[in-house]
Amino acid sequence: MAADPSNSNPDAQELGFYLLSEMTETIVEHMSDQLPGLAQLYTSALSAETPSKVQNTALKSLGQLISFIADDEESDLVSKYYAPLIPGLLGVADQCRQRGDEDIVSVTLDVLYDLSFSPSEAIASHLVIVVQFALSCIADDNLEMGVRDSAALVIATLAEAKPKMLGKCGMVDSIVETLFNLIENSNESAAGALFESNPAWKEDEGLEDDGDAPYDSPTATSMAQGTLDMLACELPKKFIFGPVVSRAVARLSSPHANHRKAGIACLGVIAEGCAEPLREHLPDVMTHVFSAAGDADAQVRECACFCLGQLSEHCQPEILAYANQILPIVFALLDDTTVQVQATSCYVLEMFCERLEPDSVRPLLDSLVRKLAGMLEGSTKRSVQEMAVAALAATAVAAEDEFAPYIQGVSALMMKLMELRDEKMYTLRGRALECMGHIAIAVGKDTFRPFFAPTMQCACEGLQWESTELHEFAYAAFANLSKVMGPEFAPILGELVPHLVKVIDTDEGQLEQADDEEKVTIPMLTYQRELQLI
Amino acid sequence: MSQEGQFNLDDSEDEDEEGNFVLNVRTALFESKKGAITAIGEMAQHTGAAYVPYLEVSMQVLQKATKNWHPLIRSQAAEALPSMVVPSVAANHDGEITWEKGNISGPNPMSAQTAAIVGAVLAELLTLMDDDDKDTVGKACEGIQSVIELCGPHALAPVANECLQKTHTLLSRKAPCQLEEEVYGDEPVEDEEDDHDTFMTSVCDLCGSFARVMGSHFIQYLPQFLPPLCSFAKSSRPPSDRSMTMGCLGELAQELEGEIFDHASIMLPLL
Repeated sequence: MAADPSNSNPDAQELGFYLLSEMTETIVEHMSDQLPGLAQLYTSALSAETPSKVQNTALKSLGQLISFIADDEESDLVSKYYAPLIPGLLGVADQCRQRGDEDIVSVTLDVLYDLSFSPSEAIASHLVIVVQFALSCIADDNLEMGVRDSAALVIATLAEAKPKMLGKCGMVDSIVETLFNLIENSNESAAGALFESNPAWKEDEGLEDDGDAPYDSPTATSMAQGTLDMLACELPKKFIFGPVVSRAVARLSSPHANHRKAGIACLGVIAEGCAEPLREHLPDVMTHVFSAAGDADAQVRECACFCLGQLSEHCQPEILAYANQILPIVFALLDDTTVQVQATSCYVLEMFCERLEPDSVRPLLDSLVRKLAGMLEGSTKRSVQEMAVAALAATAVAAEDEFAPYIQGVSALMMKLMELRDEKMYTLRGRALECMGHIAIAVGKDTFRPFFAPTMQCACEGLQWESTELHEFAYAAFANLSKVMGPEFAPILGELVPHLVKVIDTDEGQLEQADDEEKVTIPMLTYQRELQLI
Repeated sequence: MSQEGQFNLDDSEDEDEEGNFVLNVRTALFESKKGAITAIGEMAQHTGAAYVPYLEVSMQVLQKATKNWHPLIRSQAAEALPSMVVPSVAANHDGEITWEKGNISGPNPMSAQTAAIVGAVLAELLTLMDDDDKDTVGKACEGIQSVIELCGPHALAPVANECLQKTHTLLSRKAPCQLEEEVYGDEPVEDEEDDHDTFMTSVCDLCGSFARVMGSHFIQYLPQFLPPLCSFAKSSRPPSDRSMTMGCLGELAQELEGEIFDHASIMLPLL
């Protein structure tokens, strides 16, 4: 092909690029001196005069080549000869996007993803147009959600690999605006992060898996929230905090409920990444959160609740100063008619109470324990039950030995849950065990002693079942109970330590034969060495 | 809403080029393995001399865990390792080692068993100070602090040079975990846009701990340590960095009984 660039037969050109695709590895490994010349070939293939089918095949071939050489060793080569091709590549890809050719768009996004981690200048020198292309994909309703999500991944990966460069490139405002638009233009709940992290709760929302949709396919809202979370965690706060907060505050005074929903939800999403600036501006932020918690629209209230949970989790201890305002609001939300708000309110309580001092929780202690115990007994929803147990545990930790009067009643409830054997109920059983561990920490050795043996029995029984989740809860219980019981814990060491040592010594990855008929042993050894899994 | 950096905790599968083998990473195991490491650490920390028979086997798996490819596991191992010293102190020293600040001229107050465990634990933690995961490095610094404050200057002496050197590198922001920008081709750090790194608080605490354990022996290192430390107190740095530095300087002043003020000429222009 290189020998005869004048051949204008599109079929021949297309075939040529197919061949190049097939030979990518060979070219890079054995004919690397050809790479500069090939760059020239791709440049002309991506030009506007080239027929689209040749452009597309060239783009695929080029994508494959760039991804292959984007690593450290070849990054100079990419910078020198292939970085100048990025605008042409994006031009062709964007035409494909407008035509709905998702295949080419996906190939392009994969290349951009690979280049994000590359030290080459291919992305650095074209960051603005790369971000523009990714944003146009994210915002394009006509594209499959999976493709849009790949575009979001490019943005998130750039935030992770090149946080300062991305922060400075002048595109953060556009990115944040696009993400806000996704949330406000959708009718989905934006307080779903908690539920999304617990797929088993889907049935509580009335969203039974219909078997067709991929189990964890992203939605516009979850994609926007995930990307914003990543930006908040990775970018220098100077570049991300202002653009998000100014938009959130502006949205909160909008007459449209969907805008207010997006505003308060995004404030919650950035709580982890922007904890430091949020703590500095907490008085202003809380004014907005409290006002959203009293919003006329249920979705806004739900997101305010989510936001309160996020702030309670990440803005400690400053948030504790708002106990007198937060606790009654959350307390009222526990009575909400929707399962999501009930469970989210328990999450707020869990996060908020964990660090409270006895003095702060005392005025509400009795009603809190009664309320949460009542929810636990009255609800049939696993999400509410699990979160109510978690909130009870946090309340105990906050109340310290003032929880003693409740230990009998709460333990009786937990003992019942600790007898659950249905696999679907493992999390609830584990949460109950966890709660007992926290109660032990709260009330201390002497008060907890009568409950020590039954709690240990439940933990050890869980170890006999094949559930890593139950094992995890058991190990946490051992950690807490040994802390509280001290030398009284020692008699069981002989049984426990060998088990724990074995778990720590287990390899978490292993190669398994995918196809019994084709046994090849050499690749397996290579894999083991490369990944240091053995 | 947390994310796990470049590691994906979803159950993953990878296929080799021939498609004959799949790599199954049982990611659920990470969490339970992490929980098991925590449990081992807490049990060693709190059950006292009764844990001594299990120290050897526990150390073996923890040493292996410090080389795990997943940062969650390495970080948890860094947290559990210092607890391994506690049972030996309970069994051999009645729970407490009496040591004198900065004095290594007298007899070593540690029993042979304690000294051996301390040596092994510190060796692992020193290696983890070079880890590329910031959280793991922070835990390693906290671990070293708790071991040297429990066991005194005789515990620190054999590794003091290496330990001070690595801490200085971290303060100077030149440790492997601080060089991410270069690896991925990002721009270098500038004060105006840099954010507070939580793990640096552990590094600063370790500096204070050197003064507490080494006493006046640490003064000779102030000319090297103060400039990078004070660079975190510049007005262009985030408030958390500045209060972290002030806390550290306060601790140094307290532990070194005012001798730090002889170095005011180094500090003042930097603040």
